[in-house]
Amino acid sequence: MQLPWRAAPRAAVSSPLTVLVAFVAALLLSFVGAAAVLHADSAGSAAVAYQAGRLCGQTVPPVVDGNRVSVADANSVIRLSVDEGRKAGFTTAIAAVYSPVRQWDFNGPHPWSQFGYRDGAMDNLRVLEGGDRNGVWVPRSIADDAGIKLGDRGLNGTLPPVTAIYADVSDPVPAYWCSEQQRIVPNPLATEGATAAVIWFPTLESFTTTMGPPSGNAAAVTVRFPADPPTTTDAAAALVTRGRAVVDGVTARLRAQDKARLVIASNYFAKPVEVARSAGSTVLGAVLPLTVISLLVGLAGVGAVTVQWVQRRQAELRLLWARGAGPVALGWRAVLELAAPLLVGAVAGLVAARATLSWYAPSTELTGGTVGLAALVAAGVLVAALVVVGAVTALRAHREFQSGTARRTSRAWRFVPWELITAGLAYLAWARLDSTPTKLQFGQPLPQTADAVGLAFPLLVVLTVALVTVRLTRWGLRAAHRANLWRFPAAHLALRRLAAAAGSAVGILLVGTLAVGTLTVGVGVADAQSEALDTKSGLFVGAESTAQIPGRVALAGLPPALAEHATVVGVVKNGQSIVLAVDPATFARSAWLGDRDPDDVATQLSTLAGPGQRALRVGSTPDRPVELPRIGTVRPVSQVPSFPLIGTGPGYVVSRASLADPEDIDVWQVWSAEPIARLVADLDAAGIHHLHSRSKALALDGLPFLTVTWTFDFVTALGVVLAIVAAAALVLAVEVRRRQNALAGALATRMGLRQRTLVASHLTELGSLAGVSVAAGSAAGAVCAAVSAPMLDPSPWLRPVAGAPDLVPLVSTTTLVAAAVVALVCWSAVRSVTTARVGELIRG
Amino acid sequence: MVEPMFDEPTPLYELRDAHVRYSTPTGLVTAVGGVSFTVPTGGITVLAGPSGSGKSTLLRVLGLIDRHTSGSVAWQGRDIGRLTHRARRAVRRDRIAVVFQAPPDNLIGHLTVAQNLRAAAQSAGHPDADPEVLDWLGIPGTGDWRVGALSGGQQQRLAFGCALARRPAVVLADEPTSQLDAASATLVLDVLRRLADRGVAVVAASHDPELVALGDQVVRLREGMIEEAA
Repeated sequence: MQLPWRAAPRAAVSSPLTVLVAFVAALLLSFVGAAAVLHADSAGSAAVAYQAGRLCGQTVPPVVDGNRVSVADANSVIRLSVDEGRKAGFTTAIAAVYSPVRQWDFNGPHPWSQFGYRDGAMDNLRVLEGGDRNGVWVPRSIADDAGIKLGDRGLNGTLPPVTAIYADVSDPVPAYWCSEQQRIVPNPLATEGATAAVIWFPTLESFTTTMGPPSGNAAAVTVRFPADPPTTTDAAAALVTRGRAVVDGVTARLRAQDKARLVIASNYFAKPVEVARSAGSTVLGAVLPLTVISLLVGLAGVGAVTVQWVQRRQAELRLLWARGAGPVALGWRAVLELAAPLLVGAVAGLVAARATLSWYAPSTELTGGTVGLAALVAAGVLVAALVVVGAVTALRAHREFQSGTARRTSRAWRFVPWELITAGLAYLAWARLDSTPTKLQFGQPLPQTADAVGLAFPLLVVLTVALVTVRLTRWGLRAAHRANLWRFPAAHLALRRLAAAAGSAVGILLVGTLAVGTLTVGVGVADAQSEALDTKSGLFVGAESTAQIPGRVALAGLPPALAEHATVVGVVKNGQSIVLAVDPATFARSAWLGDRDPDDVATQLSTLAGPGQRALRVGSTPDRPVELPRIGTVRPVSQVPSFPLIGTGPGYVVSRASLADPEDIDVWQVWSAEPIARLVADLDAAGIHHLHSRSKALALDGLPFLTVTWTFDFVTALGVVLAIVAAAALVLAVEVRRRQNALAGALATRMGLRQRTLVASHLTELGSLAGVSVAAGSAAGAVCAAVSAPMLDPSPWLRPVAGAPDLVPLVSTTTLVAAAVVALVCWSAVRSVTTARVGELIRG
Repeated sequence: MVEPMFDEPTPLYELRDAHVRYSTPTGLVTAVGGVSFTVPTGGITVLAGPSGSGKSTLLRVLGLIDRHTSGSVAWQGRDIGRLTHRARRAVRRDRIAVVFQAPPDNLIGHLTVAQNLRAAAQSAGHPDADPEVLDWLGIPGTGDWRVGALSGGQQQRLAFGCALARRPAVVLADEPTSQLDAASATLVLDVLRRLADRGVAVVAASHDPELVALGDQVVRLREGMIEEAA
């Protein structure tokens, strides 16, 4: 290799600014490419974790359930299930067998109860009396009802003695019991004898020996295979594969014994794994357009850096050209000089993408090989950047030295109607979004329209607005020479400087508008979906947490500890209509009210007191007295569009105090402003039996919302990257013209230009670029977010539909940051003028 | 038609009615409007004339950097208008050395003096420059210097040293003394003379009277046409 090429890497040291910009460009490019891969995979992991978190941990691995089997068959099912589980790598199994629920004899009394055995059950019960593990353990509720004491023996003395009284397991149950909740927590609303608490045997053998004949063929068996919850899609898929082996093995062996009908072996997590994979690919597909646009912008930035480099090395390139080097050799010369900063930048970008994963991605868990894939993408981006460097240099050399047709092609690009093309694509995306409205089918956890084309709509609109802004600015700057603004010297100088560097100006404008627009639309849509999920969950549940309580407790009033954060609500459902009987004094501070002022709600509810049975009507209900089942005739006194639990559907709210007969109310619930754990703890502490507890956080399957949110969170991250590029481009544009500006400014100030005018001219020049970027980007982003948010709502059937978010704080922050960047760059530009020594500048 | 002053069977260059026109925003500009002359394989040929007379344009055509638009320009009997890009590069690489007007434009700034000489030699397929060349140029002991440490005159002499290192058939120099003080210009003229004495053909574009006086053949241009040849 000849010396100029061999020495090229060291030559980079002579222009640190170019090295720095190349490094930053490669860093951002590599970051964007790698982050897209990591983010998509992380979305899959987050979807796995989210779904695993919503399920009982014991039903994530395979499950074996059998009802109406004999105890002997139950033993057989347990043995072969444990065996198949072991073969598939599930080293631990929790087997359980239950007798039917009956009024079993216990020395006379016949309480509704059931007998059972479960591996480890006695380790997971709270003993109230006794505790010896050689006898049966009786729940407090049955012991109290039947007067059972330690040492008693049931079933005519055939049972082992009672050696412990334990506290009933209540809803919500601890993790160990989650898969058995329906079986072991009695439901007082169920038909008598359908459910009962369990009397536990110490061993499977003792249960089998004692309960075999009495149970007949009505025993039940469950086998669980506890495993650590999967954190990635690959781990989840592996768990499902192992689960499938268990299910197939158990089914085959039972089929061979002609007993396959006895049990159902299931692999419930298979579908969530599909959903998680789908979530990952949906997010990747959705962020792909903007990622590609960002990469193209980044590569264009690398191209701009190369053009600067070519200008800086113009003399050397011409010399090498004159000595016989061709365009390709000169391109290679550029690659050799810029390869090192680009390589280091790409590596730094990859490392940054991995290190900052928790900032922009929904999960830090990644499937094996994802980082390798991200590294491959970063390497691909690096190669693309190097190709751009080489190609731009070769092309410029060819144009300038070989064919002498410089600038003709670049002018031709300007005549391509890019904005019309992107507008057409945006229309197609909108048509797709609009023609397939988002309807969430039950059982289908992802929005149907979450595809790349549909989700690209807001981004394409932002891109179109950015291109239109650029086109208009270019026309304006071209016509600017006709403008005579010398009455406003600062504006005139700013305009002339902008027109003289029109290429840089429109480049900064394009990236700036794109950055602000994507930031706004990303934050807007993501916030809209989060708010929609929160609002829908809040309206759906009614409060942060709720639980059903007995009517007698509700009517007696809550104990003080509960009354601090909870209120009692009676619920009567009548077809589509819901009637709530509330306590106006405590409702507003306990229920979920969204952004409504609790005082306003309290004031509104206070009108329910007074003569006659007054009601607040909700949704589209008639404004006249109506007869409500179990409530009586009510007279609406005011109307609200939505109400907790009722939502936006039809319903009425009455005061509990006005009820003629409170005992007619179907269901009494306690609504709390505190999380479910606090509510349940307080209920348990007060000895209040409860069931059907619900939490706002888990009420709805939020995955469809989260998928959209994750997508636009990444859009926001890309917007931040683009904003950094725009700010860097602004700094660079001033830096590369520093000498020229300094000379012109220094001469102008010596000819009488006031310092104030000089500062104002720079502020006008830079401020107009930033201002137009912020204004156009914010407007496009806000409008797009407002239009897209309802269309992207994955559950429009659950009102209210996602609406336009409040973007004032974001736009204010963006404006402030833009102003700060402008002030900083302006200070730098003015300083270069005020510290310039004209003589040296001219001589240099 | 200017007759060659040297008795050479095949001239280095032979121009017949050569035109060079440029497309500009205001229309087509004729920089060289039909010149015919020959350049011998040795001696110093000076293209003289005021600014805008077309001498630099003509020099770039001779250096196979720009193309003439009509007429013919022959290099050692071959019409360069018919050469491919690759063939033109090969001629530039193997046979022609160009010295631009500004001294820094002829050197690679991030290399040392010796490295510049070696780079020039390597560009024409030679391993290195003659070790005596710095003495010959009058800048001995500067091999390890960065070129920025040299004065303008020294840089221009080094540029001719680089040209010599390429062992070309012709050295094309565009206004080689225009940016130098009188003393430095004299030293450069001395180098030019000695290059010619070594058998290298030198073609220089200049309006420096001392350089014009140095020419074995002088082609005077005005507004793209030959005004006088001597």
